[in-house]
Amino acid sequence: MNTNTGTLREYRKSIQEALDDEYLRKTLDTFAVDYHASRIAAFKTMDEKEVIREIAEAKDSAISRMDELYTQFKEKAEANGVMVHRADTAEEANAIICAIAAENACKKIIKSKSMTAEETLLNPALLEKGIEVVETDLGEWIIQLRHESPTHMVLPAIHLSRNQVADVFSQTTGKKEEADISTLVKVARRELREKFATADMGISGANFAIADTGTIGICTNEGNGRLVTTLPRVQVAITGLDKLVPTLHDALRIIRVLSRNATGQNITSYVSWITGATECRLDPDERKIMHIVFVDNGRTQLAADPACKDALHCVRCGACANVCPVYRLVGGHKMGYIYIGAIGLILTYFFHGADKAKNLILNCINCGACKEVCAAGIDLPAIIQEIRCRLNESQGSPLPAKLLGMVLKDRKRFHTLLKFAKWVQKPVTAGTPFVRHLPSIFDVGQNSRALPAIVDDAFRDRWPYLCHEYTEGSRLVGLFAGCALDFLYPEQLEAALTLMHRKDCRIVFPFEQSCCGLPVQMMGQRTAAVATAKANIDAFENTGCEYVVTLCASCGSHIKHTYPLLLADDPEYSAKAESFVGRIKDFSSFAVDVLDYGEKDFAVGDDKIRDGVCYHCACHLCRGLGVTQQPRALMRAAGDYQQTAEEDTCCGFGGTYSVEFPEISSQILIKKLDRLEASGARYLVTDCPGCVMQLRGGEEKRGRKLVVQHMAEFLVARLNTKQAKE
Amino acid sequence: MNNTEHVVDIFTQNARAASSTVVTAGSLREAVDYAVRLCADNAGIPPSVPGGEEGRDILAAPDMPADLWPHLVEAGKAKGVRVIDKNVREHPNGVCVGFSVGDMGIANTGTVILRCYKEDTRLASMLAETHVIALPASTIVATSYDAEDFLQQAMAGPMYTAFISGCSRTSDIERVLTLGVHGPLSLHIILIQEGQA
Ligand code: SF4
Repeated sequence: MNTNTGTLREYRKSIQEALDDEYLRKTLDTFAVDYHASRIAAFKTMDEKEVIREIAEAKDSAISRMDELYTQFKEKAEANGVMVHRADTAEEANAIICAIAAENACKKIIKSKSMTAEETLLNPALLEKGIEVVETDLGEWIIQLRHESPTHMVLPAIHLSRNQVADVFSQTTGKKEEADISTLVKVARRELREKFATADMGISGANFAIADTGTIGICTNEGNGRLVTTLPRVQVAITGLDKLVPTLHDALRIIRVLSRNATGQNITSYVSWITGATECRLDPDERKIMHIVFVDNGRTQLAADPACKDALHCVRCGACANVCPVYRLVGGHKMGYIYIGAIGLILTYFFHGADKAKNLILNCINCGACKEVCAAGIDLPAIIQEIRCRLNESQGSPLPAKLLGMVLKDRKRFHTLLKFAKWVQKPVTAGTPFVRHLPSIFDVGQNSRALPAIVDDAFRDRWPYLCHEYTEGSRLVGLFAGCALDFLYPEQLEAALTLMHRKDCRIVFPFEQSCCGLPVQMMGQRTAAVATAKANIDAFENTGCEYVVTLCASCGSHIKHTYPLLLADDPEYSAKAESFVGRIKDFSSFAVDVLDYGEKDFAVGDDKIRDGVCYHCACHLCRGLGVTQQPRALMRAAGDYQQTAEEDTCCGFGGTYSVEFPEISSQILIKKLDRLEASGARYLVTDCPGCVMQLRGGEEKRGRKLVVQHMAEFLVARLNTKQAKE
Repeated sequence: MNNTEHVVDIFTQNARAASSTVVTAGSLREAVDYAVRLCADNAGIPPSVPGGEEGRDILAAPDMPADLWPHLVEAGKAKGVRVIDKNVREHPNGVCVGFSVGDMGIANTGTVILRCYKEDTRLASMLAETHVIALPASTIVATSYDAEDFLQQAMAGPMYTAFISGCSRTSDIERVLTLGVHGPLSLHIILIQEGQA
C-alpha cells in the first residue's frame, strides 16, 4: 500500500494525488496555523529552549549507555515481578509477544498507542497467529478499521473527515452512524468498552522506561492506556531501547515539553507510572502477568553513529511534521514509512532500510522549521543531508547530482559552464530577464514561477571595473557573493556596495571564491561540498578583513553550520573554518549592528516612499542564522513595514528541492504569495537571492502585484540622498 | 496572598483550563456528601455505554477512610445511592461516580497524583462516568519536580501511580476536542481546606 518505496517517478505521482486532495490540504493548513499559535501560548511561561537543551543533553548521555540502563532497568523491574525481554530485531520482538500470548492462552488483545509496535508490524504478526487485536486509541482504531497506516504520530487519523469516520464506523456497527463528532466518539466508547472488558491481554507502548526504579511511563489523553494496562490479566509493554532514561527526573523534564510541543496542551490528561506487576484480581495470585519488551532494531548501531545518533533523542511529539511545509501539503502518507515527518525520513533509513528511505529522504526542503521546534533539539536537516550523502556513496549518485558535484570541485570549470549556459538560454529568454520557455523536459510543474536568466556580465566580470571605487574606507570588508547573486542578480551586490561604502567600508572581493557548496551538500555530494568549503576558506584566508558579508542567507547559514561539521576532522582546515565562520555576517545584521543603519539614513518627508512593504523571512536567515530583528528594523526605518501572517514560513524554493519536487515547491509558493498579496503592500522584501528568485518568478506569472526586492536593493532606493550630498 | 494560597490558585486555574470542575470543602466528610449528591443527581441520566443502566446509582469508593465509611453508607442510603468498595470490574459498562482521595496536587499543570496499586482504585477512576477526587489543598506543590521525593518513594516497590489532569479526552476526529472517550466524562476536584467552612 505504501507508494513511497517504489521508483522516484511513482513516488512523485503519488505526491501529486495527495496534492489534489482538497480536504487534506485544507485540514493540514488550518492545523499548521493553529499549531503555531497554540505552541507559543503553551510555552509562554517557560524558557523552552533551555529545557530542550537540557533534554538533549540528558538524552545524549542516556543513549550513550543504553546497555547499562537496560541492565539496571531489567534488574529493578524483575525484582518487582516483571519479565523483561530484549529483541534485536522487529521480528524477534513480535515473536516474543506471540509466545507470551500462546503461553498464557490469550486470544483477544487490546492495544493502546505504540509507535514501536507500528515499527515492528506487530499487529499483522499477531493476526497471523489467529489472535484478535483491537487498537483502542480512537485515531488508531479508525485507521485500523480502514486498513491504513497513521498519517501523524500524535493525530493518526488527521487526514480523515468526520464523514469518512462515520462511513467506516457504519460498516463496523452495521448501522448508519451519524457524521457528528461527539456521536462518533460515543460510538467508539460503546464499541470498544466491550473489547476492554473481554480482552485477555493488553499491549501498551511506553514513553519512558526509568532505569533507576524499573518504571514505565505512559502518556495518554483518552485514558485507554490505563484500561489497557488494568483490565486484562496479561500486560505487555513494547518500547524502544532509546526510551530508557536514568531517573524519574529525566522523564518529568520531558513531560514538561512533550505535550506542549505536540499539541499546545500543558500535559496529557493521564500519565501512568507503572512500577512492577500490580494488582490484578483475575489472577490467582492477584498480581498481573507483566512483560516488557525492549526493541533494538538498529538502535544500538545508531547510538554508535556520531553523525546521526541524535535521532535517538526523539520523544515522538510529532512537532517536526506540524511545522513542515512539505507535510502541510502532502500529509503523512507521503512523508514517512511508519514514522512521520522529518524524524520519519531519518528513522525509516535506520529502522527500515535504505530502500524504503531512498525517495523519502529527498523530500526535505531544508527550511529548518523542524529543527527550530524539536522537543529534543535534534538538527534534523543535517542528519537528512548526512543520509543523502551515505545513500549516494553506497548506491551511487543520480546523474545530475554527480555532474554538479564534479563540476563544483573545480571553480573555473563551474564558472565557465555558467557562462556557457548563458548562451544556451538565449533563445528562451526573449530578451527579458526571465527564461520564458524551458525545453519541455525541464518544464515539469514549473508553471507557477518564471525562472531568471543568467546575466550577460556576472558580478565577477563587473568587479574589475568597479573595484577602484571601493578602495577607500576605514573598515575592510570581504564580500562573499554566492552563485545566485554573482550570476543572476549582480545589481543586488552593487546595491550593497553602495550601502557599505557610504558607511566608510572598503571592499575586497576575492576572485577565487566559489559556490558555497549548499546545492551539492543537499544532493549528498560530500567530496564536492568539502572541496568548495576549502576553496572559499582559502579565498578569504589572507584578505585581512574583519567581516565577510554575504547577501545570501542560504550561503551564510550553510557556511556557518555545515563548514565546521564538514571540516571537523581536517587537521589543517578545522581551525581555519572556525575563523572564517566567525567572520561571516549576513547583510541585514551587518547594516544594523555594524554600520548602524537607521531612520536617519533614509529619505523623510515628501521623499519617503510610502507604499507598504511586506516581508518574507528567509528560512536560512531567521532559523539558519537566527536573525529576526534587524531586517524588520531596517524596513521600519526605510519604509512603511506591514507585518503579515506566517512571515517565516518557507517560500518553497529550497534550492535543488524546487527542481526535484517542483509540484510541491510551486504549491508552497502559491500559498505564500496569496498571503503576501492580501496584505495590500506594494513591495516585498527578503534577504536571500533564492527567495527573490522564487517570489519574483511567482509574481512575474501572477502579474507583478508585488515588487520583489532584496533588502539591499530596497534600502539603496530609499537612501536619504540629501544627507549624502551634504 | 501567601505562597500556599498562590499555588492553590494556580492549581485551580490550570485544572479548570484542563476542563476539571474545582470546588472547595472544609473537610473530607463534606467532600463525601458532595460525591453522594452528584451521584443522586446524575442517576437519572442515561449511561453513555449500553448496559450501564445497572451502574447508574453506584458510587465506587474503594479507598474511603474507615472512619468515614459508615457516614458514606448512611448518606448514600438517604439519597438512594448504592455504595461499593470492591469488584468494580463487575461493572464494565460504568458506574455513576468514582471517588478517590488524591495524594498530591501539581499547580502548574492542574494535576492530581493518585497512587493506585489496587485494581479497584484504578477502575473506580476509569469506569466511572464522573470521577470525583478529594484533594487536601495543603498537598499542592508548584511543579512536578517538587513532587519527586514522593513519587520516588511510591516507585520503590510495585505501584501504579497516576497523574490525572482533567478527564478523558480526544481530538482525533478533525482535531475537535471532545471530552469522555474511554474514561470519565468529567472530573471534579474537591479541594479540602481544613478549618474552612
Ligand atoms: S524529532 Fe523532535 S520534533 Fe520530531 S517528533 Fe521527535 S522530538 Fe518531536
